Amino acid sequence: MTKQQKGSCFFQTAIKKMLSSTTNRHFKIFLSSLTLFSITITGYSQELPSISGQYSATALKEVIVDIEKQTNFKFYFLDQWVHGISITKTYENEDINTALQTVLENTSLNFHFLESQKRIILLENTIVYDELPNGFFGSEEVIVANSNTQTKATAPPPTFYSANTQTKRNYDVAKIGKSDPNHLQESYRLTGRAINSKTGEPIQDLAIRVKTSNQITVTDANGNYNLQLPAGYNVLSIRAMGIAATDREIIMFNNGNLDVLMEEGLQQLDEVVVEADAFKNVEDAITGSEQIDSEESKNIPLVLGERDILSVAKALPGISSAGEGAMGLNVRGGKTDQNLVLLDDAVIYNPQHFFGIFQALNPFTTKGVDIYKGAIPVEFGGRLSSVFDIRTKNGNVEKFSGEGSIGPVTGNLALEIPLEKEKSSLVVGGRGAYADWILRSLDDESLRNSNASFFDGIVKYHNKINDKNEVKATAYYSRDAFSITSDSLYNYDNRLFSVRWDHRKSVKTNSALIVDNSNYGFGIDFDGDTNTDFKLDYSINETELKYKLRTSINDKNTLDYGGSAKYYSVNPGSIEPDGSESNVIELTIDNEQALEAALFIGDEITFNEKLSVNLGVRYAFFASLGEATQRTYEEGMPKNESTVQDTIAYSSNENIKTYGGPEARISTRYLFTPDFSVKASLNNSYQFLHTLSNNTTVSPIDTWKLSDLNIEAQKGYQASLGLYKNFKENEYELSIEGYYKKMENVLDFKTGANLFLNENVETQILQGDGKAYGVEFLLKKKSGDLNGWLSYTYSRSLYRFDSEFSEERINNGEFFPSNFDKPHDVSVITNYRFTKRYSLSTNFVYQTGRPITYPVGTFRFNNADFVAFSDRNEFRIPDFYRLDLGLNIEGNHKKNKLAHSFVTISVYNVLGRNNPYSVFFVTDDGEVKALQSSIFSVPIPSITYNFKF
Amino acid sequence: MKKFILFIICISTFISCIEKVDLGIPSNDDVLKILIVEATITDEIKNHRVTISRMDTLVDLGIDSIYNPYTPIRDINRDLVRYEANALVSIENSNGSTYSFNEASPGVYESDIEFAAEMGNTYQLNIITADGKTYSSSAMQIEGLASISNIYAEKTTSESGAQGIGIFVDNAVTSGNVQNLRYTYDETYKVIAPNWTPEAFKLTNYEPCALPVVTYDLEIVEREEEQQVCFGNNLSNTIIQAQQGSLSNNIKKFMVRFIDQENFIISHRYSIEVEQLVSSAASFSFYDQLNNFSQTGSIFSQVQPGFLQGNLSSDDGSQGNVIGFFDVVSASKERLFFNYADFYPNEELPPYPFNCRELTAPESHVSFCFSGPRGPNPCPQSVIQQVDLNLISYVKPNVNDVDCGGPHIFVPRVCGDCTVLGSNIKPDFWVD
Repeated sequence: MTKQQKGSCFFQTAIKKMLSSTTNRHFKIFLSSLTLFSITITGYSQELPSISGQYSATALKEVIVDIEKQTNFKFYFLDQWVHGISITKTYENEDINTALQTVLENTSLNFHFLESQKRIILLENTIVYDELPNGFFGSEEVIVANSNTQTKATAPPPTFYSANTQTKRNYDVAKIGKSDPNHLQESYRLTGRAINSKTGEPIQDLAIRVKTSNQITVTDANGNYNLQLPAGYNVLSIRAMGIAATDREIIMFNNGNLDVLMEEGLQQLDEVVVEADAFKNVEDAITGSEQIDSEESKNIPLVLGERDILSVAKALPGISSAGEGAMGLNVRGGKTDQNLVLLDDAVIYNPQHFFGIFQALNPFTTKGVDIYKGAIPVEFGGRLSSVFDIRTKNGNVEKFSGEGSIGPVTGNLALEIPLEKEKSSLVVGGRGAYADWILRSLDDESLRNSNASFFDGIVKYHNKINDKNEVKATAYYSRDAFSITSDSLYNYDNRLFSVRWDHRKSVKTNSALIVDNSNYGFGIDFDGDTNTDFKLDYSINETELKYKLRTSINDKNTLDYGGSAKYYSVNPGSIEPDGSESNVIELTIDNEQALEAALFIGDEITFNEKLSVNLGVRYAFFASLGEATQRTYEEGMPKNESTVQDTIAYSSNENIKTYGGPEARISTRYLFTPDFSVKASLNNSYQFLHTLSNNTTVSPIDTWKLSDLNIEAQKGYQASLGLYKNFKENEYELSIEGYYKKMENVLDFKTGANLFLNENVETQILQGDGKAYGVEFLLKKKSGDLNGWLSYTYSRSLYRFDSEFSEERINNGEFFPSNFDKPHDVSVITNYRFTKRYSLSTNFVYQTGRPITYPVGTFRFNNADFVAFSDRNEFRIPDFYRLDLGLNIEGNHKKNKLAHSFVTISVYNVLGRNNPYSVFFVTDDGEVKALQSSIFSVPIPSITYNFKF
Repeated sequence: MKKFILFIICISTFISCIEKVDLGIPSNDDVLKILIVEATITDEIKNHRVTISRMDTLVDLGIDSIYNPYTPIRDINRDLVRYEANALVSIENSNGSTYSFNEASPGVYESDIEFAAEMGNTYQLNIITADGKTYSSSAMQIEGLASISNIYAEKTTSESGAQGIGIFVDNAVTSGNVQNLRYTYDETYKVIAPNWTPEAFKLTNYEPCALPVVTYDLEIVEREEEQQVCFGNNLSNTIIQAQQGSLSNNIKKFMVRFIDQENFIISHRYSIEVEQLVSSAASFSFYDQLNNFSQTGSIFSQVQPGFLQGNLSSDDGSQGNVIGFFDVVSASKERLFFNYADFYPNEELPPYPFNCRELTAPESHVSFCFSGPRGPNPCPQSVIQQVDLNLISYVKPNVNDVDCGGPHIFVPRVCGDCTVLGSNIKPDFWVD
């Protein structure tokens, strides 16, 4: 295609676009004449009519009508251009040219005479070019004057833009300034402010990149920015953490101002799912970190259309779960209890509903999650494998807004309520499942009595008192109740509360004071046919006080330091008879108490542009406290009833046993080029509380046990090394990261361990070693019509329990694969946007089947027949794979609609693959057969309607 | 919508979508090779026994102990244990003496001579199987001596809330390290057939295929053997273990056996011999694991499965090919008798566990070889067929005219013939 053709092609497209966007009669006529290239008119007639008039705050349109009356000229314009402009001017026989110049001087309008036709055409921003631009027809020599010279001679070429070349059409093209034919420049200055449209707060550290020139600026603390842009069409690519990535098209006509409202509105959110600063991937000095934005994860098709950041996390390398519908996450070969999951700084013990199928976090109030699976920041500790730092949104301080969704099983509503303009707000979210009453409305008696319900609610208060102080408070509660069998009702609940005060102590030092409390409990009500009815309950409660500071000492050093203290109180369980008929004997296990504390300091050292190092040390301390009784066992002997030496009673708050030590947090990054780096990290950690479960998955009745005299703290060590490369202006991110991990004192259970309501649970427990290693590969395409990521992980997770006593050995004391050892794990997430409103997402997962222990046969012993099992985790269930599709339809973007809507039609498990949820064994014709039960063995379609107002 | 509701039901009740899965487990061959060894020698002078079998992939849990009065005995008497014959079994002690064993019945090996394990000596079991593989145990010894100081029965309530009789023991330590105790019992009880009569059916010359009609001779004769009073016998088949800490804490009132008040075995007179074995920690742990496997899993007793490692191993060092335990223990036995009336003086006896309704049926049936047209037969199996299968016991002549009636009144055999449930020979130890 020649340049000429291309030019006209652009032009026509532009016109078509304009035509389609207006119905104004005047304008149509104007355009049809404009399409004729030859009609460009030069100059004005010397004999222009004169006008007189006295206007005082008169609408521009009326002024124009008046002028039309006085002259035989007709004006052509769009109503919306003149809307809201008023004129205060007095003219006495002024010639129309001068008059119009003054009338329009403070507007963004220009005008153009078509004298022969007695027409005056108003133009927004632009001017009508009297001649074709230099180079329009090709190889003409272009003389470029010095930049910023104010001459008319080298007017920048007119701006053409085409709908086809741009993918994001979320904003109209912003036209900056009024073209001033006398002061045409090569470039103009664009200033403005970035504002979070929800909260009205300025956004600092927002990266604004000019796509064509790669010029980058960052907003200051007040959200202000300043850019020198070439005249004409530019695309600004705006990126920041937690802010939806946005591209803005602008046309520079003159110096001007553009405030970018970084609204988190539905129509604004595009393709990128896991987002970070463009270079964050390469530049951050820490390994193994991921970030998921709740809002942006909405396109990923998930079961029953529920947005779920924890499920999205599973599509990232190194994060998996034991199976579909299994609770808990396994990060880099660690157990499910080794993840520190924080919701607004407070620990949330069970962040999932309904066997892990839904997250217990409201997607509309959740801003996102930062996941640390490699180098864990120095302020966090207490778990070996990972930190999930989940944040709730701050409410909108400008106007009342809300978001909601209606899906097949759940309903959700979140409101943002401004309390004090630009200062304080409240976020209130509530979510519940209504599968329960669907069940109840059924005819079948047994199903009518079954039960599966959950809800969660959150309230967050946010107050930006002033530039120096900010207070946030969160209260959260979630509850699940379900019955597996008709005679028992299980329930569990999380309750947490946190208050955080952020304070700017000085220009260089910020501090945060956090107080939080978290409670997790579960209970079982058993009401069966026999007189064994009982009620049973368990709870763990922790209260934390944390104070952390961040000081920028100089350009090279930034210190993070502080301390935290936690008090734990565990009610390990009690059982009581339910009703007078019951013969159950009441039993209560003594409460456990403990104190966990940490002091930490870390320095971010930037040696030079290429090398930066994070050096941190954290001293972790744990003390198990009375009141309690603890047994001692013979040294070097298995712990059982016959090796008990003594029973020691401790008084209230007496120190029973302490654990702890220094934890190193070292990571470093070296930049080969600005978009290519190598990073390495080393760290170790302690964990003082453990879940007791010999199920493969976190079941809601897993109990947390504190370390004590007989159960030692777990220790972990991890080294990782990775290469990170961004391509094509950060459109593609490629990383490969390897890790090796060692764990000590990991808990497992003796064969046939009975863990619940056991007063001497240490006799059922083994502590051994774990090792995990793997390579994680991640390729992301972050923008474009087609975006998404491909991740592949090869990893192993092995445990070993060895002892000279056979009862303390598993698999003869050799390393064996853990329940979640799945060597190959592939995830592909893609999102293809084929029009402004329609996009198609896919999610594909493949994993090696997890290991299981298989009953291999039967034998006669002691006058009875027994089932014999294979070695622990000797076999594997079939491989897991699943494909999900989602079609996302955005509602139209009419400005004054009651609510913006977003509909997701998704099909979960499109291939209908019957992936096992669990494998169990039955005898059929005297033969052991493995049966698998699967939850989603057929494609599950669902429609979820989301709305926002 | 229907599908949707079905789906909800599916996930809510978790009875969801179950199907068979192929785990790709290579073959049963390795499993079938796993050797099972059960051997406990005590400090009693006797011919000790070692039982050797092989693992089976068939599951045969409990089938032998369920008696169905309507199933012919010949069909239930199938024991699927794959006993290992022709093995060479010997026990070696630390003095250098070797006790060799002979195969008494397939898979059951008995020592050639009577001997007793002695405290202070260690013993090792050696097995050479017919395929030439050798297995041996670790060296075991008697940990200590103890005796049952008291055995008694008391009315009690079980864990599950049932009323009944508990058999309790108290322990007294004599010497050594007595921390792990295992109990076995051998119970004997008097059974009186409720519908016993002095007369019985006698069927001869039975030709079920004779044409045109079946030929037979059915007589009512005097019973030839004792079938009214028998003695039932059960060996313990559960694992009963106790642990005690130090010498001062002797086990007191440990319940070895609980018998439900409704259990017919205590209907008349009941006797139990409890044997207390002083075992080692390793033995305790092995039996404890075994016990956990046998319990039906519930959410509260989540069993962590795995390969059961005993104290035997293959001499070639290979793993996972033998399950079993060679135990050397000291033993003490005590016996106890009681009558039902001792505890429940004026109460009704526990119900007989079988339905002993008096029945009648046509005496004969259409020849099996009759090929002509026949209508539907609404009547029960004929008397001669049931007598032939040894399913019924004679009561009296039938005088009433009922549908499908015959000339005889009878009951299921178990109601009139106690030998179904026990031996008609009074044991030597029995004291009335």
